[in-house]
Amino acid sequence: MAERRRPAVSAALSGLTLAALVVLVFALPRALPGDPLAALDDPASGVAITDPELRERVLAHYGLDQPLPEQFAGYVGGLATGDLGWSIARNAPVSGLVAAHLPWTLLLMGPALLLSTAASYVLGILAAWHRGRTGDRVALVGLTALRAIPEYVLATLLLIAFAVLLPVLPVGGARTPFAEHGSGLAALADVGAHLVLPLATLTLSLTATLFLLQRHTVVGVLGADHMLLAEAKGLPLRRRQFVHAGRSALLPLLTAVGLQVAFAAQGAVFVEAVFAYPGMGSLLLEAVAARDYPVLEGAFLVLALVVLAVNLLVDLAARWVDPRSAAS
Amino acid sequence: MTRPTRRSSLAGLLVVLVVALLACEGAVRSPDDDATAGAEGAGIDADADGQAAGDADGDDVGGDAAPARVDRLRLAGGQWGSPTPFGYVRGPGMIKAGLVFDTLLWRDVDGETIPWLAESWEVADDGLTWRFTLREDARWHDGEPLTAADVVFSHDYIAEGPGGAAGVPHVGRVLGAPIAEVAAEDERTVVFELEEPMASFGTDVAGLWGMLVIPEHVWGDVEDPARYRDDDAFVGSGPYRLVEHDEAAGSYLFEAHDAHVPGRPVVGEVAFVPVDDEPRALARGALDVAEVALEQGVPEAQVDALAADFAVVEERGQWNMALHTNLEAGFPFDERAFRQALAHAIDRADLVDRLLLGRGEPGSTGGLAPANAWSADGLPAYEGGPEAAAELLDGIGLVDADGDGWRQLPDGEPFAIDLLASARYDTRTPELVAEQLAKVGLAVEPDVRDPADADERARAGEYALALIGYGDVGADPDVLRLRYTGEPQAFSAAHGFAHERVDELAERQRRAVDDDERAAALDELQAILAEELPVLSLYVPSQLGFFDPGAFDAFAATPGCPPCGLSRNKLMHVTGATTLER
Repeated sequence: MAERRRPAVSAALSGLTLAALVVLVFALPRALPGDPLAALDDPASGVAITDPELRERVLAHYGLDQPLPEQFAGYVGGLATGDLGWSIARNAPVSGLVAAHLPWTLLLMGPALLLSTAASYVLGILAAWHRGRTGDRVALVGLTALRAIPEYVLATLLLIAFAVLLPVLPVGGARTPFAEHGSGLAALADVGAHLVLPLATLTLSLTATLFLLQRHTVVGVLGADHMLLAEAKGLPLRRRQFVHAGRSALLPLLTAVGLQVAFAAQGAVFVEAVFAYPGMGSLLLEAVAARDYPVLEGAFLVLALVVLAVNLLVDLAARWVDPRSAAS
Repeated sequence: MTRPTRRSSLAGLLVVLVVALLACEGAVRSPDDDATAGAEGAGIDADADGQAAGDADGDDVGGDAAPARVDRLRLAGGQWGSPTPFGYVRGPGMIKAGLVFDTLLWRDVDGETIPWLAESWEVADDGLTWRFTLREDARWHDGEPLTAADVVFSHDYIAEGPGGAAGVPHVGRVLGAPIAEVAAEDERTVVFELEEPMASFGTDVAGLWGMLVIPEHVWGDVEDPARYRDDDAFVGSGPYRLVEHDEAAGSYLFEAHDAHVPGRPVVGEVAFVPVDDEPRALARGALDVAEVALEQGVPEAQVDALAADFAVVEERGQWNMALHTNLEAGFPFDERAFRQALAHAIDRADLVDRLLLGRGEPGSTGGLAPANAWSADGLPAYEGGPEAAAELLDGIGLVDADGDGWRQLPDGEPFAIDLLASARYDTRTPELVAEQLAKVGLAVEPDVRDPADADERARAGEYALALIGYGDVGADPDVLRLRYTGEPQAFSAAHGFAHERVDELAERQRRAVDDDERAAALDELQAILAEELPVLSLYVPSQLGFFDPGAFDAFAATPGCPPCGLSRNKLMHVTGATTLER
């Protein structure tokens, strides 16, 4: 098993990643063709900035009249003071937009990661235990197929199935607008109902990948000495499956979960778009369409920070699961 | 065992997250928002007696009948910024800010300018002085009196103060106006002195697209207006007050301000509900009206299904898809005969049938929407078809010399054109245009780009031929000056077109003091544009909406106001005047 990195090294690497990220999120949006001020033009209404002087004033207002190095300095300086800038297309503070959108993405990503990890843990063990039998084959083929389906296709299929053909769940949004719920519980139920389809999509997508890994690892430990000993000791089946075999496979699973965080964030972007879920994905998609530099910079950065932070957490969890990696 | 504890704390964390989400939305509802059913709806009572340009007749608007109060009208929402005078985003945002903030004048669904915050106005014979008399008892939402000094402040805040850097539509209009001075004669009288007459002043500065009047006692010391979002930033004098705004979801809830002086709103609450698709949202009861964007390509079956279940409102359109030729691209684009050949070759009526399901009309060659009151009559329609086009193309040496079916340049080099188009609209348009031009031997390749890229290329003139869509062809005809004269600034500007007579006429119509003078200049201007054809308006889709007449039925298009759509002119929310009676 590969040695785990020391916390100091992990932190330094995260810091370097972060620095590279800051440069990238600044540079990439500016490499796209398109003009961020075009977001102020409105083809539907025919409104556009037609006065060159006003254009200059608006450019100056957003600091876009300055040379790139100065814009970058301003951006980094803003970051240092916690100022993520001002959205051109939404005319709102980026930090406020992130604060409004991020919780929904966390509400989607967090449970999706937990559920998919739990489901793959259990399913992986059961499938490995009964490898070659019908249940294993069905799970293997089904989840491999699921893995090949992009999130947005799966999302659309679920949308058609449960919101259009069998309209039992809301089709979009995170809650019913302006609904006056009698109790906090009813409000929670409303949020829950809106969460079901996006969460199911993301969880299924993530489960497919983790399941294959978990099954593979458990198959590998089935013949191990401690498993034979456990069986010889007459330990109950469930204990041998989920404690002895499962625990051996936990470490690779956790490492994979760390990697999955980035995929979960990426998947959330697509899933949110399909379900008009007001998370970071919706924010980013609109910002890309509008070339809204400040939002692209701020939202990508925050999303990347979330991924880094969860990765650090997973790192810590792995050390807790396997104390050897902490000692080394 | 520690794990159960961890698990339960994790579950606890999730619950806290959800509760925090709900709590931090700031969704504070006022306790007394029950609309008074059956209450009297007031019309706009005014005695606007002053007029010069001849538009204002000062009739009461919708004051005869008193429609029952409608509790709530649900319209499609979206993320259009904060409805403060400087925090909104684009046309739809302006409409929302306009619910909270009033302008001096307004416009009814017949296109007439009507008194609003000003109960009357008069224009001097030379067109240089506009005098407005504010309504007696005009007040801000916080109860402070609204005076002429506030109007002066509203102008100066944009022209000389920090308001001028905000990139919102009405700021550009005010900055672009030739205003010399604004002064308050007394508490209720405000006078605008102009450097030169401005025919569109009543719309672009005083009216629909004009200056939102803001309270000096709030904005007097605000240095960064676009970012000002304190509670008092939403204190206006308009018919509605903002009750709830969810920035992330794109929902807005406005509640009637019953003390609104120009008229007490008939609609108790205007709710902008975030929806993915308006027709589907109407069908499942989440909206009271759905407006269909025909230009984006709507399946006929969907329109038929809606028509079977709902009442229909269809009005002539104000948006157009236009074929722009960049004259700077050189031969043959700088040849008038080439542009006329394109017009003959493209069957615009066929585009209307196939793309718009027949719900629309071919554009006018003069550059304004056919329904625009200023649109000239008798302009050439270029209906000669492929034969007429072929003759013109032959005449400028674009011939198919090698017999391969495609025309070559006079020197025998192959001739192929990229047709720039935006993915924002129905991409069948560039396909159909290319198909029709292929019939006359012109090799056209659609170059469909993502909207931001296409817009920027259109603005910079990086095209020879482009399909550009915009909604100002139904607006004040001063758009012709902006589109065809001076350095191109907007994505909808004509590139490479310079014509002295056009410049003269554009200035003349801009400064015209009376309508006849303006119409004469505009007729000649449109005749030249129809001859030169730097831009060919292909089609104008109808404004099409579906609604449940049981809920509310005051839906109509407002000439010159594309963002008003069929349901968002606040006049209809105030008076409840119905479409069906119109």
